[in-house]
Amino acid sequence: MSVPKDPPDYGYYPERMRPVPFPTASAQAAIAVCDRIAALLESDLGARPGLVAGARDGWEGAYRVEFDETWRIQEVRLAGLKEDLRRLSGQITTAVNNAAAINGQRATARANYLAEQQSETSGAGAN
Amino acid sequence: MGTSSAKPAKLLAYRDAGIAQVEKWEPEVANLSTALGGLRDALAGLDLPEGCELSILFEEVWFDTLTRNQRHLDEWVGDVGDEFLRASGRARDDIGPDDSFTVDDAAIVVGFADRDRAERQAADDAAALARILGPTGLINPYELANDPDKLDEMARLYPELRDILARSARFHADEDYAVALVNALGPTNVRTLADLANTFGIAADRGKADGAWDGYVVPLATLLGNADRSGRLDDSVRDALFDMDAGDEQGGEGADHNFIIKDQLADMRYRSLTLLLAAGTFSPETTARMADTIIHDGPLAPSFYDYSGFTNYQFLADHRPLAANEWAALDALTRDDHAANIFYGLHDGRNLYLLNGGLGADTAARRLGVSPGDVAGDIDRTLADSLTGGLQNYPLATGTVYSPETTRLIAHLVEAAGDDYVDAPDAVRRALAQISTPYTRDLAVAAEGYDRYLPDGRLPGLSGDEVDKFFREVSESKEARLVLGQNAAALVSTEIGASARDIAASDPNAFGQGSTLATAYYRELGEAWDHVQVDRLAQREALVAGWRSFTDPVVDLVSGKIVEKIPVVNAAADLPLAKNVVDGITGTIKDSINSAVYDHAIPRPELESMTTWRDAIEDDVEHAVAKGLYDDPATRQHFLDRAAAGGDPAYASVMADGQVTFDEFGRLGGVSDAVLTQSHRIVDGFQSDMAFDKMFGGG
Repeated sequence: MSVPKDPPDYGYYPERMRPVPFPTASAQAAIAVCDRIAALLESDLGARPGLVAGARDGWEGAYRVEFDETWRIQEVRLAGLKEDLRRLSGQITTAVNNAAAINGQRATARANYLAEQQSETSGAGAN
Repeated sequence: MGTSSAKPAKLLAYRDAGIAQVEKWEPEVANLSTALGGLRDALAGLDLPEGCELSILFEEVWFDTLTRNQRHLDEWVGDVGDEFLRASGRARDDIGPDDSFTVDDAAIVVGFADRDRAERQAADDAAALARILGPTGLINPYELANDPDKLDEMARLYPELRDILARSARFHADEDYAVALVNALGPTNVRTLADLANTFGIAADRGKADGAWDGYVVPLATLLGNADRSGRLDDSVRDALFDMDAGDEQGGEGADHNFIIKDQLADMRYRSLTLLLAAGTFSPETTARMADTIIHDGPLAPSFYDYSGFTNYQFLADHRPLAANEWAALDALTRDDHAANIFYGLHDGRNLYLLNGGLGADTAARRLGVSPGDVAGDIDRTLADSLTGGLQNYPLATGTVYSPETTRLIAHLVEAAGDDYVDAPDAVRRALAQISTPYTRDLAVAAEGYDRYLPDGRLPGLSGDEVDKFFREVSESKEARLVLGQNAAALVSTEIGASARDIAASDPNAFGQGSTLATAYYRELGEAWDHVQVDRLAQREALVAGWRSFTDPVVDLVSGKIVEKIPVVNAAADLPLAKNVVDGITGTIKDSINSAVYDHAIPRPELESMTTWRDAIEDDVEHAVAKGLYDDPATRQHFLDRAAAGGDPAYASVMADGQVTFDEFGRLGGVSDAVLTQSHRIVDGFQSDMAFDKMFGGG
């Protein structure tokens, strides 16, 4: 039986032991951007009521009504987007962690498997 | 409708603060798109175990939508504020933060706060326009001449189109509406609408479409300009505006016609492009491209018959630049310094060779019923203004006076001005001299040629010969000579300021570099002025008046310190602020030139009495040296310390109030000695080195 090459030849192992090919770098980049934008929206939405109050000061009439209606919808949507980005970031983080955990387990399984194989090989040689 | 009240300053403040937030979001839209797109690509085709699977929704699209919506809403609030000001007849600078105004709702002309609603309206309006438009907006020249009904048929479209455009005028400040409408129309319909601008102009000239300029061309150009400035106009639509060949259009008027007809149809299209440029505000890039196309590719003189619309005398009385396409193109550049800057840099600087002026003068004269000479001056001033705006004001306002792009352009301008085929009108010569002011030192370096003691010039590749030719060309104008005289005086002054500490230290070579540069500059001027046969007294006048009239802004331009005095432009919104400062600076310089030329001319007997450099400028040089020593805090303190330590009798009175004014400073013994010594050296240097010997060689 052949032995694993360096870099590791995962084809040597049963499929259930091979690493999960999770794109961790891309995932982490996406998490960083989602978190950054969510924080930006949180900060800017926090400042908006002050800005809006300034605009509304002394503003009355049809255009004020149009503004209020448009801003009400926009504010809800922006707040929703901020939550969506946080949720997406969380989902990606969970997937990254799960992939890491599975890969940890599989690494252990591979080590055990390799040890067993080597043990069998040396045992067969002794006979 | 009822009335509305608001505090416009608060609405405008909201707009500015809101847009500042949105400007932070906008680059993040692309970042989110890249990150989520990259992750989606990386996940594609992977067979991941449970817990590792991901479904990435298109949040970037939603973020993009909401960012655009927010910008739209914030700009809309600003538009409402602007409309309150307009309806109240007030300007932004003119109101306090709590000034409140009440106006009829109908007086506030804005689009919709909600971007979706604006875009839906745009789609409806585009469909309404498209329903009216036929296959072409051109009218065949043959039919124009022989079948009056054809023009009537076209002109009948005008009221319907006018009414839709009047409705769309409500969205005059709404780029989202405009770009949605124009993109929905598509290139063919936009081309037809553009063609109709000229066709309605022809009809208006014949009394068949009264009011078509304000009712059709202005709102159409406003729409197209807004769409263009949004940055989201489809390229195919923009390119349609520049399609001057009607011969390849199915069902169009150009198909199957001979080349004369095709040329006439092209003339119509160049006129349409001109009308739109004159009536709209396009992006700087498009404005430059339109002007370039009109000036370089348009007809030299429209064919006879002239199929250009809006050329009747009554109309042109109020829109003079439209008397010639080229003039209108230059006029558009004077309204947008950025566009002028782009225009003069296009095609490796070919537009820098337009310096001879008179563009379109024959056509304009014919249409205005005057002689070409009567109108050429106006056109040349427009050309000069576009040069100054593009090559001086824009670099100043954006802090790019010494950027590689600008210095390359200026070097090219110097070269073009000295070209054998260039014979510029006086307005352009004066503009050229003024544009050269920040590069006075660099021209002196180039004039001197290689000198290991001099710094490198910033005008790449410029030779002494090219500087000589530039000065010759420019110097045929009296005003331009005065500008160069001011620049020379400011150069000496600047170099004295830079040498102040060496002068204070009594270094005999204190003004060494300054002397070399000033001598080189004056020598070039003298040779150029001799070459173009400026008479002796006129030379003296320019040189002495330059010394007597140059102002601090000229010194700041020559020394390069001007850059520190103009607000840094970080965003397009800052440009007006910087532009105001630049306008103030250039206005001061302009006043000083006009005052020196027209109000304070040096009397002839005084000029005749000057027979040496000393007669002419010694007092001014003494003043410059004293000012250089006073302006530098270190040298000022040095002379005060010396006066105190040496028991100078003037010291006690000078320092009686604890401060020293410029006049008091000059009374200190050490100062007056240093001033006299150094100014004598400088003037003696000019006296012995300069080619102006004839200028001061007798009356």
